[in-house]
Amino acid sequence: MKKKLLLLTFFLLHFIAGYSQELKPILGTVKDGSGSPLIGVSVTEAGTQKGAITDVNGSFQLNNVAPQSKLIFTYIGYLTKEVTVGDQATFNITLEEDAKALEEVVVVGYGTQKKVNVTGAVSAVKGDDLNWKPVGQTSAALQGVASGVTVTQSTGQPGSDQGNINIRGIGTLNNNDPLVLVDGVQYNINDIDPNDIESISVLKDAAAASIYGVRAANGVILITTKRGGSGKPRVTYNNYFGWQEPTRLSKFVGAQSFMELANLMYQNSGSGAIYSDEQIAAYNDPNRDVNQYPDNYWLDKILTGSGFQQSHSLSVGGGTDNAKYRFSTNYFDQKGLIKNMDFERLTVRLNTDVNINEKLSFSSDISAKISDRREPQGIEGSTWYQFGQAAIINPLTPDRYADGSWAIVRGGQNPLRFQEEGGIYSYKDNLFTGNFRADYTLLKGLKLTGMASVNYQSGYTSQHNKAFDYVTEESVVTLGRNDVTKQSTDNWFKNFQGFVEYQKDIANHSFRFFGGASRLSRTTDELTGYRQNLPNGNLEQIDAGAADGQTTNGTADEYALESYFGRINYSFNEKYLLEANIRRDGSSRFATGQKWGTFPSFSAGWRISGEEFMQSVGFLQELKLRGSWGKLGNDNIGNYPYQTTVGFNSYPFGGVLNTTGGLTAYPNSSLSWEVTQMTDIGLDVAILSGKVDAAFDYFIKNTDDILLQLPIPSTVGLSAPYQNAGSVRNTGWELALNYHGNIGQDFKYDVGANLSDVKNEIRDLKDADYITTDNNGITTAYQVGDPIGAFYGYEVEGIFQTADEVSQHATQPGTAAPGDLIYKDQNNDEVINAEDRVYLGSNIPRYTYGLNLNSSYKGFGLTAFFQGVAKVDINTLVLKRAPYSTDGNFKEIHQDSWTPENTDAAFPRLTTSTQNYQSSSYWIESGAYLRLKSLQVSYNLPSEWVSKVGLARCRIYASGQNLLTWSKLDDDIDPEAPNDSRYYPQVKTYTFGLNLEF
Amino acid sequence: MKRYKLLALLSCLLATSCDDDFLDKQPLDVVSNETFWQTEQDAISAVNNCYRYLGDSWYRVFLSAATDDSYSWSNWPADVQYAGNGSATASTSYFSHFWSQHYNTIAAANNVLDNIDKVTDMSGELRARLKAETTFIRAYAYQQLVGMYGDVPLITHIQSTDEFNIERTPKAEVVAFIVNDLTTAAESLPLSYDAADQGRITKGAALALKARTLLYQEEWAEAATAAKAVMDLGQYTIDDDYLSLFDGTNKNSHEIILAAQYLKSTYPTAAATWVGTPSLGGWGQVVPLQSLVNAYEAIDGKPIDQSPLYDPNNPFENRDPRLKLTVVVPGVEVNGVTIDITNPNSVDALGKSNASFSGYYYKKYIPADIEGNWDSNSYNDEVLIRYAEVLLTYAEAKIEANEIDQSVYDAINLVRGRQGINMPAVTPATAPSQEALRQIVRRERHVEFALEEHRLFDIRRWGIAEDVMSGNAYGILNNFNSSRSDYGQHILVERRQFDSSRDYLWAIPQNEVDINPNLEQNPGW
Repeated sequence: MKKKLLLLTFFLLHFIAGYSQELKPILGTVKDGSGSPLIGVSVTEAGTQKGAITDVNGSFQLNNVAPQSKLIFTYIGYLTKEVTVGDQATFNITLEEDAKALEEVVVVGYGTQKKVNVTGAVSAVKGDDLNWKPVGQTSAALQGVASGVTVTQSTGQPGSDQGNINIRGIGTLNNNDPLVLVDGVQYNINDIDPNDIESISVLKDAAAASIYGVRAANGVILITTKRGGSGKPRVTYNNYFGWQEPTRLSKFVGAQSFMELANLMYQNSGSGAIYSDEQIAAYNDPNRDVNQYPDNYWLDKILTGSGFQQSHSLSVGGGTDNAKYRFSTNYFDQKGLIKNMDFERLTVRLNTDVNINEKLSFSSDISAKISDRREPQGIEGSTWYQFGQAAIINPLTPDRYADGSWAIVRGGQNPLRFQEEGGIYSYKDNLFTGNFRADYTLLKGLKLTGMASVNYQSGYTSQHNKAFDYVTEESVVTLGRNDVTKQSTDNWFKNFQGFVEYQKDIANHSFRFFGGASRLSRTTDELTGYRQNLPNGNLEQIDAGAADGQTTNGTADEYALESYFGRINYSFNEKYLLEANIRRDGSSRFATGQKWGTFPSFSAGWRISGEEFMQSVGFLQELKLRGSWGKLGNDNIGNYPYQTTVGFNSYPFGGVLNTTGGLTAYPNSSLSWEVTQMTDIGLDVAILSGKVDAAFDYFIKNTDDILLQLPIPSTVGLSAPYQNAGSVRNTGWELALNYHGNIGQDFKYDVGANLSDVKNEIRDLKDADYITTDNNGITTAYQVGDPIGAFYGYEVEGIFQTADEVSQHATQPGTAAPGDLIYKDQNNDEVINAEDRVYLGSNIPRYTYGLNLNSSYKGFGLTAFFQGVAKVDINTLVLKRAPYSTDGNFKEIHQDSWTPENTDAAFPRLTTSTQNYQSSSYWIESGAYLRLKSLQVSYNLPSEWVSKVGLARCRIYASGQNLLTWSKLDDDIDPEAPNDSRYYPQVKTYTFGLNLEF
Repeated sequence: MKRYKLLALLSCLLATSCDDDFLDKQPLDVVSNETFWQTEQDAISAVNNCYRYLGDSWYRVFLSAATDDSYSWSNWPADVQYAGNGSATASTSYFSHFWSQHYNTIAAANNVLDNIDKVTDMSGELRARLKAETTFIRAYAYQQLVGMYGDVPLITHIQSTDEFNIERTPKAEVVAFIVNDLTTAAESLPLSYDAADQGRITKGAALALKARTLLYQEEWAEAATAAKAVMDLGQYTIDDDYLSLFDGTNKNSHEIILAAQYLKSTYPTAAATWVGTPSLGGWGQVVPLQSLVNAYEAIDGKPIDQSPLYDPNNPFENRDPRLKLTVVVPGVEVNGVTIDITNPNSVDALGKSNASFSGYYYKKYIPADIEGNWDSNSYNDEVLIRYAEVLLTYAEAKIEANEIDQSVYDAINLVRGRQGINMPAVTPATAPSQEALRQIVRRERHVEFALEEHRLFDIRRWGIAEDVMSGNAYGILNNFNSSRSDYGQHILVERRQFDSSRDYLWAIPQNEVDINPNLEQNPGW
């Protein structure tokens, strides 16, 4: 403070002394309407290169300013202000919020555009809307922030808890992941720290996305990272600490009920009782010998991890007018619900911008990510072994005996022992990226750009297994092997791009031309080594194993894409807007003659609010009608789908392995693109001085030539080839609504809501409509007129009460008896068979919505985010069925199963057959839900306190994830991830964090 | 000037691209089918690939649970239990497994036969042999298919897409095709191979499979002739050690005509998991039923209901020695571990996790030493054809043709008189009639081939499935655990139903009928 006073005095003196001189230093502060300092406001002296950026106190200073010059203050979202310097030396500037946000700029394909000029369907999201959520994966933070974007998370496992992103429904039966570009280069969205994100644009319709051609059919997400500003260095530090716990776990019955239900099931099925009355009665005694009479709730027992997580982010940004930098780093550490099931990640990024001269500028973005996901040893997957076993091991199975020795479970290894003593599986994934860009302004309005991007990703997987001895009454059983698998993958990604941009305004006509070319290649190399018979369980390197029985596997694959693209924008007076895009892509994934495809789009906009006749409508600030049509492609179907390849393997003769070679799939060399055509009509509205803004879009998205492996008869004997065989239509609408309000000066609030609907319909399958039943007995249909993968099955009419009812009813499949479900005879042919299956529902969500609430009162803030689905069907067969044998667990719902004494039961009789566990309407339930995904309470410490310790800002907060859920499903089923308990559950997280700025 | 240079530079950058090499990416670890068929080694590798489909122990070891021999308590990995107790539907996945498995075999073989003539640099002898090996493997798949499903689509080359929706071919035509193929194959196959090629298909295998196929088709004279042809090859004898044929210690026995080969750790199987006891680290999933135990004669060569040597209180004593070599009854030792389910503290006891529901376990097919991994613990070969089958095929065919002579008795007695088994010889005195001999040869097949793949086909062709597959399936007599309600009785394992109008054939898998409209479902499914 003293220093500042000194400076001020110095400047004042200087000012007085040098009044006669022409040039002088000036200083000042910039604040918003409420008096809060505005950080990062650009202050320029008109007609010169001179300028400054306000610091964290909103202060700025400029030297050698002429009294006659004008100062221009610009800040996104605020009205630009011009002030003549005159004889003033200090300036207290107040910027007014730009209600219309007319100057708001959004990122679009290969550039930016003023929001008012955008004719495609683009959702823009600020980084701040994401990074307040304490989640480890950026994809998960995208949940609910934009209309038409559905993000589902299927597991809470550290490092595997990414969200699956769908934009505008499911357009293909293949990979539905959108293309994600970070600063113009393809990237995994989860490899970037949310704190580094300046903005995200979601390109939803063909007009916006078609410039990305063959990779754009699933929509495009453009991420722009934060960059440095000139001025003194800005330092931020953010952290949080949190604890996770499962949202919901299956509720299983205890040992005594288990035995009673198992006996009932076997007796219903014509077998004898498995457990004696004596054994069941023994559990009445609380002081029983638990060694002999155990009662374990395994699903809870395996949750031995702390669930602790922490994140630390540090950034330093600053520079001069001609050289700016921003360095950032994040460390994220997440412990699992299971011991040793952890995730750790470190990211580093350095973005640098240099103006070499007035015409040439250069930027270099370098980033790295180092991550390690760890799991205890497993069999066919670690989480699968932990949760998959724990959900099935019955309560009578001991975990450890009184003498401390481990018990065999389900005839195999004990998952608790794996946690305590097992080997470790480690999945290291490292990424280094360099993104270099040069812009050269050739003429006024003509800019050339060259970009070179190189990413190197390396993965190293280590899977170390230990053999364990289990002591039984009569033997010592050794299970497993001391072995180790090491796998290394290398992934080189290179992308070279060149762009030309030309801008010309003639009177009210504005033209923009853009053209570019891109070459992209990716090579993956993989090498795996395996050895067994390591001398003891603690050694875990290949060399420790025996050469005898070792295996080596290696492979590589390549992908190349070559593209040319262009765009023309025309606008008249910012009222009538036209845009045309075209892209031509060549992909290595198709046969010669099929490689190239062209993807055009056209869009137009009419800013009705810009018309003379609308000027009298005072409450309306913005009204724009948009329309677009375009074509997009999808080649995301593996690297060599058209090739008929011979796969090599081995078979022993005379005790020695010989090479074998066999066909892998049925050939089809005529494969080509999937083509999506999308038509979009949209409306943007802002009213009441910008307090309310809304965007509405209606779209029809037709995907044709869908690349799919239409099932072929097994008699062909080869796996099905890909064919360009299907057409799917997604029809939908999206509504985004925002309200910015305040009560008095201090209480401000924002409400943001988005609602979207997508209706999915298969339009054509080349007459190859089919129904298929998976291993769990769930039948799904791929039929024209139905959504993709619709649930099919029998319609249930109730439960048979008597043997007469069974015999009078059409013949049921299997062996029906009283207590079994009654399957309806749809075609009245007196026999229930495949012909009687009907449409039962669809698991493609309709009416997904998100609600963001944000309020602040003085330093306090409250932010809440709700997400929900209003209509979706869930097949609960796997979630609710009873076991078929003692190898499984009964749930509480099975206690209300049908018996001659309990005839109005909710659940059919328990049997060892699959009679009642066929795909049927009995299992289809509404999966609609509403969930409070995130809630945060924060407090900004008063600036007079924090400035005393040299801080610009100090904010503390507490937040929770997945805190509340409303759903009609049983309360042990998670509606957002309706998996059975064999999967890692979703987690509830409680976090506390701190944001500091220096 | 400078700006034009830059422009030129840029247009270069944009235009360098049009060479198509950049977009021409071929797989790096496989070759395409078009370029594959060049060398002799290519042809051999492709034929070797067909052998990979011969062994299918994960599923085939469960086959006996679809018969009166065994019970499988879990529906994973094979829901064969439903095929055993009559509650199966057309969606039962056990049915679709074999359907796919055999047609995958057929496609692999057809691919060889369609393409092998593209390889020009190969001796005629080798080419003929390779074709014959391949033809045999295809014939074997069809032999299994007709036994399971009846009429099946007959596919003899890689189909074009317009042939996918193929209809079923009558079983008799398929059988004629198999017999014809095997007759041709036998001409080009050698009697035996060098050590390095041990495990390949021989002339004996082709003739033996031909004999089996004809026997199943009830063409008695031709079946006997084919079987006799194998016997006359002089290649095969009955081995002195019954159990060693199945435990991996006697892979090159002169009794084994064809076995799917396995190797410890590098090409293993999971047999020990499916049949082993918990005390051996197994899951006891396929376990014997009382009806199999009852099929073993008393030591005097008489069925237990006729023999004075049979003592219901000591039911496992004085029995055909193959009983204790096949079935673990209380007190039997396996790999040095004494298994006793009557000890309530044993992990193998009734009611324990993964323990037998019948009180019995199998000993046959447990490898002599077991590795620790559940899915790779075994290396014992899966015996597909052995000399004992040929002998009993010969005997049965002659009996059914009513051409009973001394050679029939000799054939049966070779099997019964195996060293260490030494069951009393069958003579015209003990089995004077065709019917008596018929029962003897059927009982002999039942016990000799327990847990091998024959029982399902036998009970179908003999028309006895409706008798042996319905009613209660029982396990061991519970005279050791008085707390159970079945004390003093045989354990009730399950109640079985058999619909004779439906269950003599398995269902064509529902998914297949759903996809191929020309594929007709079997009656009743």
